[in-house]
Amino acid sequence: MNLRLATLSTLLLMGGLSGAAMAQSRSTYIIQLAAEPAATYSGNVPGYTATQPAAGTRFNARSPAALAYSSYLDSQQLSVAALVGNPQIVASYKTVYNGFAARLTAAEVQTLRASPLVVAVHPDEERKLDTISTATFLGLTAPGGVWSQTVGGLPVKGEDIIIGVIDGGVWPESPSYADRVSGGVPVFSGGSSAYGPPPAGWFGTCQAAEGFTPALHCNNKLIGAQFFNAGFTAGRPASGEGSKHWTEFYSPRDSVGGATGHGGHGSHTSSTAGGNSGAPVTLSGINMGTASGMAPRARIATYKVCYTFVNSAASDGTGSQNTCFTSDSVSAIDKAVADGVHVINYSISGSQTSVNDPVEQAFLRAANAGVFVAASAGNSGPGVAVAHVSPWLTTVAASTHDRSLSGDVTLGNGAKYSGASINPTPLPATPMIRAEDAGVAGADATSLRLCFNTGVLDSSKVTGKVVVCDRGSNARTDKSLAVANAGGVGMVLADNGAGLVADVHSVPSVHVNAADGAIIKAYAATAGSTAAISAFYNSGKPAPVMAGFSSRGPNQGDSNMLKPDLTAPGVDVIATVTAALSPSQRDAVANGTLVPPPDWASYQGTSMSSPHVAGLAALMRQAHPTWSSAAIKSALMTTSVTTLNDGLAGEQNGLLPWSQGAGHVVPNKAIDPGLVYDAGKIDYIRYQCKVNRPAVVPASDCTTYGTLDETYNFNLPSITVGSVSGSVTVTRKVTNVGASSAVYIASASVPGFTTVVTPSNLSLAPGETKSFTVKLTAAGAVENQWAYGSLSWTDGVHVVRSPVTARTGKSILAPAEIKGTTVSGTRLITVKTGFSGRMTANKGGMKAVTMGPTNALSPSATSSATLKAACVAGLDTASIKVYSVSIPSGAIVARFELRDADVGAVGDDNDMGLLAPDGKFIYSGNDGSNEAVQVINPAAGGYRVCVVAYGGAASMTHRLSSWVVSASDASSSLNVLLPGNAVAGGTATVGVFWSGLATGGRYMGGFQLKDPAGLVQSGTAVRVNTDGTAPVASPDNGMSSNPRNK
Amino acid sequence: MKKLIRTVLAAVALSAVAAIPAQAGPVIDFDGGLDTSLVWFPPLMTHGDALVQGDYYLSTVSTKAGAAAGDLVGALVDGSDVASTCMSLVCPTNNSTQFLAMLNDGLPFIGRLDGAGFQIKSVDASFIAAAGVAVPPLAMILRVYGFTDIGGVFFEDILLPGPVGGVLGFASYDFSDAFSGRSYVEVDFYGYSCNAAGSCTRSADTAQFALDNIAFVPEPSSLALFGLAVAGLALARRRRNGNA
Repeated sequence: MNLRLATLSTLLLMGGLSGAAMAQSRSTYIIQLAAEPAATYSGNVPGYTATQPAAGTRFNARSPAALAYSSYLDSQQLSVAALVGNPQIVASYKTVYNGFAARLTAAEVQTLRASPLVVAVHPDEERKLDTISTATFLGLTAPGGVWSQTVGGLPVKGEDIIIGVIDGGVWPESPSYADRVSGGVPVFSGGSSAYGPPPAGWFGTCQAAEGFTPALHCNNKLIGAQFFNAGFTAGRPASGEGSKHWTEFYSPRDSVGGATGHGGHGSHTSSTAGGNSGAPVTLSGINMGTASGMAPRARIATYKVCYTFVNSAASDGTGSQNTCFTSDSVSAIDKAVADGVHVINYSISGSQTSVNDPVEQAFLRAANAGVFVAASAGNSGPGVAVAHVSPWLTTVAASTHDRSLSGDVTLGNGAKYSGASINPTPLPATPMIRAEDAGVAGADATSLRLCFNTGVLDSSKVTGKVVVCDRGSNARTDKSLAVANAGGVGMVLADNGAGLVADVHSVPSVHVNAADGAIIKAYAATAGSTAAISAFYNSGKPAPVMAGFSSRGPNQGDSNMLKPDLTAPGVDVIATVTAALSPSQRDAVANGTLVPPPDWASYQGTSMSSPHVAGLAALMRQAHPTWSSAAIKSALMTTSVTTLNDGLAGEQNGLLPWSQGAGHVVPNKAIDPGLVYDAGKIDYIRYQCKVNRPAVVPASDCTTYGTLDETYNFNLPSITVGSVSGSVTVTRKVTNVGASSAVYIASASVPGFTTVVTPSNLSLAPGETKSFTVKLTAAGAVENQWAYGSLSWTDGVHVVRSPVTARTGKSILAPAEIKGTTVSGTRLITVKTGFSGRMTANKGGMKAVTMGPTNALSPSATSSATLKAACVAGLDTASIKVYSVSIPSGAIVARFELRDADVGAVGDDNDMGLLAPDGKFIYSGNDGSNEAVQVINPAAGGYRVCVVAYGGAASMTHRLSSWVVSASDASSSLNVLLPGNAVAGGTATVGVFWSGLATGGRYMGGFQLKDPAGLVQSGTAVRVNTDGTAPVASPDNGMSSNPRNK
Repeated sequence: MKKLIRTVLAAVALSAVAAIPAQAGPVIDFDGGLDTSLVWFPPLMTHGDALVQGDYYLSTVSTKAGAAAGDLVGALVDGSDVASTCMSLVCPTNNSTQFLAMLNDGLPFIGRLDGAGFQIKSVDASFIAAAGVAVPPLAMILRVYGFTDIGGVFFEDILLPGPVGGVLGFASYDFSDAFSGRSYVEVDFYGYSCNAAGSCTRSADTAQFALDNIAFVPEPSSLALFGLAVAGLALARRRRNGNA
């Protein structure tokens, strides 16, 4: 999975070492130990008192008890490391995660896994990084808005709240981070001091390293700046492929931006969350007004975990790639909580299926320590790929805001067309020409139409004219550069249906839609045609609309829990970034001889929406210092409003909670929500005991606090039930956070269900908590289709709204999957039945994997939508391989897998999708190549499995693993035994037993349960991997914040 | 069944005592020497299967109308791997050896291979709950019937508690001197699962329970050898019961 391993392997091969030596190669693993980390330690180790904070307070890492317990954890970690001869330790975690990262062989991993002190071993993984007017758009600046309110005499702008940003570092020269003010403008010298010393409870530091000097670069605004790169540097070559890229700094400094660098992301996110207000913005030389973070008075602490390395095959053509290792992220979260941050922003990809990911587990302890965490939902939309599925953090989708930078093109015939533009210089009426008519002799017609910057435009035809170019293939800014190079003075860019974008162009330009473009081209072809281009202006536009790239739900880890939680602005967000520098300028910054300029850019991504929510959480924390992070999340969710229709079809539509969660944030209402759905450590323990029991430490917590009966009963401000068999009763509790007693009245409806709230009104004193139930009974709901409704509590002043999403199931409810790792095994499962009588079953398997041939592809970063289109077309391309699969009638389960182990080079990122005969497309787009799609009870017919080489080596190879299991595959290796009868609305136990498997294999079986009429009512896959020599990586999100610039 | 509960509470409820140390008598512990050759799909137990250990057998049947061969009524569970095996059942977690889980209202009954009479002394038992289903504090009445060779029927009830904090555990139950003092040719274990209103049934597939360490009073020939030990144990047991 890690490029550095590929490099290490290559070196070993070149050295002529044997295969045995290869097997001993080391990679980084994160080892989680059994004892509680300090932030949530409850005092169960003799001789060490509890160190977890009391409710409403923060963890104090400097208390004598915390220091003592941390040293105890140190000794435990050392004794575990000693089991494998004290390997190289990459990192040690003690605050929010008890464990360490180390360089280990597969055999050493097995040894550690056998130790009772070890809870889990995770391979280190690579993840990716996923605003001027947004504060106004969100209403913060409005009269009576949050910023105009006060707490203790101070405006609610994040005063004395510390926002920790775990990202790509900081560009400290930006006025967003200055701590002085002159004439309302933030400055680094002169003027007057704007901030006092760091708030009480801050224990963080500024680290001196390349291009970063604490005395110069940290101040009372940027109070912390640290970097964590042990995971990134482990095993990394000093030069050549895979080595640190020249744009990078091993320091808290964000790396260089511009055309070749990947820097800017960390500065963009931190300034969006808590950057100063009044910071003057210049975008490519154009004055854009001033910028402000959401919590402009908050203090900022940055924790750098993402770094750029040399990758000559990078799919974006930069020759470099940015990556973030989970081991470094856990180090940063550990430190941020110990430092005393109030809020963390995490705009980095994450697991789409598991709360057992080390980063998610670290955030669990952070939440228990009173820290609010905002995380990005991912940029793999509109496919189902929402990441960060844990209930203890707030997962943020991305939507548009109302800024629309526009320009007009006025033709000689008087017609005027508007489009996207940030052209600062008006161009008077000027002769115009279609690109098609402006080519050199023999120019390729397509290259010409698209205005390739390859000399196809004839300067004798273009000089002094406005050229009409078509969008597509090459970068939009490349087209205006081609026009400028040929002597042109303006460009009209005709869209291709992908949507208008305002870019900084080489000549005055307007980007018009395809229909207007066709009319303009027809006119341009006439003799004497002219065009004038206006300067840009803000025309405004309807908003918010969900961004197409925002990853959609349902939650693939738990169908009874809504993700994402909410949405915030994440399209065309302008914030501070890093400057584009030459290598020599970069070196001068590194050695302190050059002070680089600040820079600004417009980015889009859920990486941009997440820090909006982190900043809003800082405002909430200031206004309500005793609220838990769950209460803040609840307030933001229950007061949100719906987005506008994005027009997408089916479950991808932006109006649905899969896209927008509870809705778009409205901070002015969130500050006074009326009621909150609170949750805390005990709720998280009970949830984990249900879904992730092995990770619960101490294990006795499941006895002490119990296990959540059903995950839809977790006290979220959203209700989601993945399978209603007849009826279901959901429990919730709400707390009155208003200043006075109130009577709240419920109203709820879900189409296709009768919805009964009991009690239907709640009388609550201030601070009082009461429980209620919501009973959903199917009444005409279409089987197996989601229905969307809502629940609202109102006291006449507040409206506390929750999305309610439910789906009826079949009349037998059985687990979708049974997993095992042993050659024989037994599973006893509870099934729920909606009928009385005797059920029957079909079974198939166990069946060994079928491995496809090795196929080679060229990498190309391809969206889920493009992959689907190619899959529908059904033709192989240079980067996409189409496999046709025929599935027989009566099939029980079909599964298709790619594995990191089966690709040509470690670090290759392959993605895949499955196209069903009915046109449904199931997408798997994680980082790396561990991908899988699985269909239970598939309809018979022709399917296509489409594999895309997303990024990696110049020639990427893969082998497809497949299983299609039907009743004709039944054998004695899998037996399913049923109860003698079933009771309507009751439960019964089904026994499953497999045996006789060989070691070293990957097997699949399955069974269907049928009602007394013989109709199939459930399907369960049985998946047994007997080759588990190393921990299997959980699927993770493939996410990129790169604006699609074509 | 409310009447049954009152009777039980008034008179014959057995109290759980701490695990009894290794004792000098025959025992079905489902571990070493267990013969599963009369089980169709071991470790799963179906209608009509039988386990044999030492001189004793334990047969599992379904008492449902229309019960057929292959109906699931139980399973042998490796106590060290409960988390995997009881995937969506709540099984007892405090027993690391193999035990018998009775499922779907299944009925286990025991006897001697030679048909001779025997005296039952104690049993370890726990309720087993379906995942995601609320269980009241009194989860089950396990009614143990003894049948004598001349047609007499006697019973004693064991009250099995519901989960505490979501977790179930085995407890050891001694039969009364009156019950264990008689010689039976067959002993049956009928489970009745209870709802919150105290109504207990064995017709909804929810009468599920775990058994282990079914201990018998030593036979006369061995009694002489272990008489001293038994006397000591009885004394100890009385003390524990007295403290309970």
